[in-house]
Amino acid sequence: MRNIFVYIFSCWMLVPLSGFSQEDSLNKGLRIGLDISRYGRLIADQGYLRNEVSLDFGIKNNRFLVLNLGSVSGSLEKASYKMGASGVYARVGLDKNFINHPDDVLSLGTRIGFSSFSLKPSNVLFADPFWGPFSQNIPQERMLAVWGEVVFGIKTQVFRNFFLGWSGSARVMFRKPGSDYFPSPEVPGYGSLEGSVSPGFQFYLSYRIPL
Amino acid sequence: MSACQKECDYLPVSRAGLGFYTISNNQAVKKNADSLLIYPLNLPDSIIYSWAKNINFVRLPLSPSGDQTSFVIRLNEFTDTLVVQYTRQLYYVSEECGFSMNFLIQAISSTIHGVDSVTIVQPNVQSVNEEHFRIYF
Repeated sequence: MRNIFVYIFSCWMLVPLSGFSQEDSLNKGLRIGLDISRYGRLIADQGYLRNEVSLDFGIKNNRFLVLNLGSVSGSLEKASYKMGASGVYARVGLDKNFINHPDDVLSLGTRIGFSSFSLKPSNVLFADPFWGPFSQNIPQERMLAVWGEVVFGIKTQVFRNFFLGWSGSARVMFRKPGSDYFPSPEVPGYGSLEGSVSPGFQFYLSYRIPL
Repeated sequence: MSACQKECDYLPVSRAGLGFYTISNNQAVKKNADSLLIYPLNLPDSIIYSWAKNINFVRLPLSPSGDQTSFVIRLNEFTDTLVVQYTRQLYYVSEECGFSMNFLIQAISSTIHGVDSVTIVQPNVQSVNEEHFRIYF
């Protein structure tokens, strides 16, 4: 297991992106996926609209070039403040499929993630026990985050060229967004900043464009 | 942004800590006030310390709606007015609790009826139990 991780971290990103060998021809083609777990969370999160699409493209040696693109927008209403958020993010990396079959994927991969977003708190109410409530608006903050992650994923073909699959990831922040007095509670595409590692989960419905 | 609605258990509120001192043999030493009354100059009915006995440390609420708060301090038999000037910074506490406020003290001044002098020890008002300034009397 350790060897696998060493392998992933040391040479995954250095794989040459050229040339298809004979046995890879079945794996090629662009697959486009939509993260449908977002829409279940939309109800639970009462406010933020999240979208994520995933593109993957088979390259040599059972490897896939992966690009996830997502957006978060909306606002969250709390008792003492309202938090407007909007942002976009991208994760780019490589997956290796450990199953030598084009219609089933059991993959391990790495990603680099980037997120650019802004938070706009409004109707901020600070209830001082002595002085009583005080209300103020806080200027919008533009934030940038960069992180890395390891991803485990499973995909299977349910109809011809249609795939269903999930992936789980462990993310580590490289560049924390926000200032001391206004740390971002959550980073679009990354998740919560509370722990040192943020878990991620995606459930994709994908379509492979046959080449 | 999590799925569960949680209540705010504890909202931290920053208070300016004021210690009472005297100079003895060129050293600052704590000195108890025999009796102490403190209220904001503009809110005489909102008593912060009401004839407290044998006390050498108080916590003063700085007003979140302005950059200056004046306190009337009756220290033993003398009455003085202490003026604290500061800048304010709302900061994010947590999703449940929202925002609280920190202060950065810029200047303090006092009348000198019972008070000898006032000094700033630590200008960052971010916690409730630190000493931020001193009154010498």
